[in-house]
Amino acid sequence: MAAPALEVHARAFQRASILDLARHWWPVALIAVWLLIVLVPGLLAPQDPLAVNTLNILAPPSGEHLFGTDHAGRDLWARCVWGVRYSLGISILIVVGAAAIGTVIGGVAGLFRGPVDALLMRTTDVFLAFPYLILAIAIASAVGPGLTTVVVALTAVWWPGYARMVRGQVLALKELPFVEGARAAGTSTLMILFRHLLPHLLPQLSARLSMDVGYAVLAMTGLSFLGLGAQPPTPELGTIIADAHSHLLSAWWYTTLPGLFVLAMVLSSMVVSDWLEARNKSQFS
Amino acid sequence: MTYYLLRRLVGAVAVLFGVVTGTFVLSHVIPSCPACAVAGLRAGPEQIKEAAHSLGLDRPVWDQYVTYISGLVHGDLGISYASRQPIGPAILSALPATLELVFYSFIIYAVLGVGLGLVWAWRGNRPESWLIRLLSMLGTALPVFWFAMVLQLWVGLRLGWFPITGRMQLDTPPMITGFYTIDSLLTGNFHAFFDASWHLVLPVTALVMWQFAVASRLTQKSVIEEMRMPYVRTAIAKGAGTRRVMLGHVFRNAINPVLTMLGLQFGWLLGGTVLVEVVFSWPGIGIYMYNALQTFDFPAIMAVTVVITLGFVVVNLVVDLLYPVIDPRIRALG
Repeated sequence: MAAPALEVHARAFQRASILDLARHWWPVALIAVWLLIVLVPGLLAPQDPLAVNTLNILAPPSGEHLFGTDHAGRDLWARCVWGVRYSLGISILIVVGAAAIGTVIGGVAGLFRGPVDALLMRTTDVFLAFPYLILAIAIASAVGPGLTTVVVALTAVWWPGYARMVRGQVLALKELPFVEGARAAGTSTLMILFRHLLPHLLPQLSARLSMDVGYAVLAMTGLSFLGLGAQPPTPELGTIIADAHSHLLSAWWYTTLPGLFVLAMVLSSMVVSDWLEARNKSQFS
Repeated sequence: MTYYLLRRLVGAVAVLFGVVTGTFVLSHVIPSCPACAVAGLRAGPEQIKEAAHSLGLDRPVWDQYVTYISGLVHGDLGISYASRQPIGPAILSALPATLELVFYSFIIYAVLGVGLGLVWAWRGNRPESWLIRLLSMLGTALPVFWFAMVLQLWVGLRLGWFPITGRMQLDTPPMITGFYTIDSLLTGNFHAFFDASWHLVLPVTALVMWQFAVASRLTQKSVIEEMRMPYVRTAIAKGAGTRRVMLGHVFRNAINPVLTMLGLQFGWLLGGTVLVEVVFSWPGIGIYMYNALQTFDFPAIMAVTVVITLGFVVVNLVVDLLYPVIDPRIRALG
């Protein structure tokens, strides 16, 4: 009973997408704007984020420097915009990587069951038993500071959540007749996972992905704030905010303004995620 | 029931074992040379060998592992590479500061989060729900370290309402519990009590704003889900008032996932205090870990990781043990 209904919904999902995009243009526009900043930050910030000007340090916001300048006289607006490239770009990388690893592991665990499942799930248990920020700090300190470190540490703490979610969904989906049919036709297990199950997982995965990009931005700027991520002079938002802390007294803009970018990124990711979730609900219920 | 308790306990011990093994493996895959760091910059191969010997680094890995585990069981967290002092006492002396911060934040956001989440679900689309929703979104999206700095700058420095660093200005009260607020009350020193409380306001606000959001959203979700259950309709049909239905029926059934979340959040809170302590120079284990990070003091970093995870596992175990007390279904099924 459930299977044909699900398939009909899956087709409706595909057909509705273009119409849907036209009707809900603003979450799409939001994604487009952020992606544009990540891909070509120079469009929004013509100034060089690394150009030092010792004659103009800690200048307040003005027409020339929208966000003022930092302790080395660099244009803060340019640094923040380029910071989005690092913070958001790398967060997307982390979450997509973690989702891919988690999907494969969770999918395999759900499809095979037995000892494979038990082993994989106990491993995720241990990962989930760490407070994630602390685990990321421990891993990052072992690898040594740098952007690669942040990617490694955060991917390592992020995949178990996806493995859990995908396993749960696969366990429910694999009992449906279309999986049985594919199996009877001789399809291999991995093929079943990618060709037949993945399309059903995508709606939920995408909502979670867009939410997690926001959380990853928070985690990665946090690690950078502690000095584990991007190293100066790289314009990464967490590093910029950490630098600003020693100028708390003398430059309010330095402390206050870069954080607004982080806030805006995370809020956008939440809005997009809410939109995706609402879409899923209206189509799958 | 006994089976349930036993299973949870064994689970907690297994997780702790995994965590300890994990940190041990981590500290042994580091491609650095701790013995060189300890021996100093001008040390020759002889001195490095000696340093490695005194740290036990020249023994086989499994031997080091056994020593490490038995040390942990006896409460020995190892020797710091940076200070060459035992880590255990250093963490122990920093722990009350962190616990005081986390304790007050936890109480406040748990009450606020669950309370406001209930109001949010109850009130549906009214303005107060929208306000809570907005606050909750903001709280989730704020980078906690930045928000802490903004509070420090605008409320602490510009308005001058609250002190911006440390735990206390006056002399510290005599050590009884290690919580300055409680110790000063116990000794009847109200000036010290107000001083300590005043210093807590900004860091606690930062942590509460960050975590209350998660708690309120989950409470709202859980309550809304319960409100759709048939027994709610039955209760209303039988003439039970809204207050009675919400608090007596819905809330009691909705509390389980909320409890789980509060337990998990406690762990996030422990992670988040590192960031907040750095901003406010709060002399807890967060600052200790931060300083260890700056000097690549791995035993200290791993020790803090183990201690925080231990706290996390214990809190989650307590939550697990609370379930049967709150939910008779678990008591019956085991």
